[in-house]
Amino acid sequence: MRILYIAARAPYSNDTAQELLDALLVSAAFGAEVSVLFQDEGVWQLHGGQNGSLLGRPSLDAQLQALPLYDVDQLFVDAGSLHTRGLTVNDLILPVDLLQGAQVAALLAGCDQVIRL
Amino acid sequence: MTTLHILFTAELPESLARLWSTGDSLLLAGASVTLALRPDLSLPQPLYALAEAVQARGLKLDQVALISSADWVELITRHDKSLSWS
Repeated sequence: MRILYIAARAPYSNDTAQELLDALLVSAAFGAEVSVLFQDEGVWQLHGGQNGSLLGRPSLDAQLQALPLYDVDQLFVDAGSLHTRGLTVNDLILPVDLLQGAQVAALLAGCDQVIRL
Repeated sequence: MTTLHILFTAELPESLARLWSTGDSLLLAGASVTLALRPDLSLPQPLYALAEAVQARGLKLDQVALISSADWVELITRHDKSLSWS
């Protein structure tokens, strides 16, 4: 089962980003082939230098860095979402595949299930 | 593999167009039904709207196929997967 998780929310405004991370780790633990696409406001989740303790929360970037340890290593970023926010891959804490144009739709078309949070 | 995109928000997400493939469909549900009235937007086709959500808001949409909850289930079965935009 190929499951695509689309991380589309900024971190810290609410618990959504954290809940998506929890959900995808459970999927990976049960043997699903998990891909993650960071898109829209979700690209901020990958921004380095976070200090969640200032908001009384665990830092999301530190948790995301552990993804490859859980065999979640198919990580993608929508180049359009990155560029409109003035970000580059150098701002991100993990090596990701940058998807341009039709590559984004092809990723979705190639998976069995999709969850966007 | 085709996707049924189900939109619940009153804003059109910037990334919907980038995730769109030939064979996909868009269903407006909840607050998103008002998007069909926006003259500045061109929504992808085929386009459906949940009749209940349209009528509950007192709207009249002539250009959109209105469907029931049962039709919604049937629409899901005609696609390989569904993607909820909330």
